[in-house]
Amino acid sequence: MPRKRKEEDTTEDPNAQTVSVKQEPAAPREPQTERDIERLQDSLRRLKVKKGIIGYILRAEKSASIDINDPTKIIDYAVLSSIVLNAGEILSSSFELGGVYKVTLEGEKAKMLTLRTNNHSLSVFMENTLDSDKIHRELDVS
Amino acid sequence: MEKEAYVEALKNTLTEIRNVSPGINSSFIFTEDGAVIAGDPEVANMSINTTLSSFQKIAEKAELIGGLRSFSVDGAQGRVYISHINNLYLVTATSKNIDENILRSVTQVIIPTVLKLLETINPVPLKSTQSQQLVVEAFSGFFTGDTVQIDPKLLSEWSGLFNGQNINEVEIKAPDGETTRCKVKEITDTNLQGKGIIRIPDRVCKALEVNKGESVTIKPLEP
Repeated sequence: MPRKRKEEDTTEDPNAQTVSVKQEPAAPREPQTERDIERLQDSLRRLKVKKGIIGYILRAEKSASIDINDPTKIIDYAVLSSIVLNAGEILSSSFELGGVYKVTLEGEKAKMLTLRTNNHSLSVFMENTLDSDKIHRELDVS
Repeated sequence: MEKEAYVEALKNTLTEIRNVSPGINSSFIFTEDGAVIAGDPEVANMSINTTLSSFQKIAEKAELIGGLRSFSVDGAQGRVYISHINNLYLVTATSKNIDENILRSVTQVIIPTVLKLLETINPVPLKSTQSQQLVVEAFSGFFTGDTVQIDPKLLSEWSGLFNGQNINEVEIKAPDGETTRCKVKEITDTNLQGKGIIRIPDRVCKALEVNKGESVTIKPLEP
């Protein structure tokens, strides 16, 4: 059963569950990387309460953070995110696209925006009413 | 219009689009069951195979978001865009800075219009193509022999193409063009059915130089 995050969570949805997974103690990092992650997490907390946002999965070097409205679908979204990331890498290699920085998957009901940097990857799930390019700009991931 | 003419028309369309659209490097079209209908000669077989293999995995899981409508990968030097048009999928590889209007025009207007026009002139059941791309699942055992295993539904479809006769042998083509013929039977394990795989004995995999997870092209041989 996923545990709620201990830090304060201002999400409006009482049924949402946040899962933080620390795989092993984090090695000392450069301050800039820590600040980037913290800044991104702040952006995600603000984004999460927006209408139409289903949730997100943030994967850093040694940890992952998942916040999905429907806790029964956490694993499904995690698997989809993983498969899409992997497919992006494979297609990038096959078509010689260079380093992948964005993958977008759109379905009939919802869409997934995945952003990659050297240090982390972020998948945001949203309803089709939202503009994924606008969400990308709001997150300001570089 | 015969099917060959339909495919030729599509192929010419893709080639001309590439010629006149700056930024579009290559493209191809495939059906929902993974059969390539028309392809730009610029696209390497390996790229087609990896695209189909990746697409299958995503399509299975995309039910979570209502089925796959479009998929795009943006890299430092280029982009690949897969869009769903009627019961077909269009794959377009472009340069990094392609004009979005051009891409949208091609994928959402020109190709759909051409497809609709071709279907209006003479509807062609594209799904009933014989060749099929399947993902390799290698297996070993004492009594495996050289017989491969395929989904019973696919064998049944192929059987329909030959007046209900059982399909006993298939031709397998590896990504590098190497081919071989093998006896075929159904996959009996229900957990493995409906996943777009072909179970191939290890020694046949070695002879074809294919590994688990790669895509191969399978064609039924007339009974």
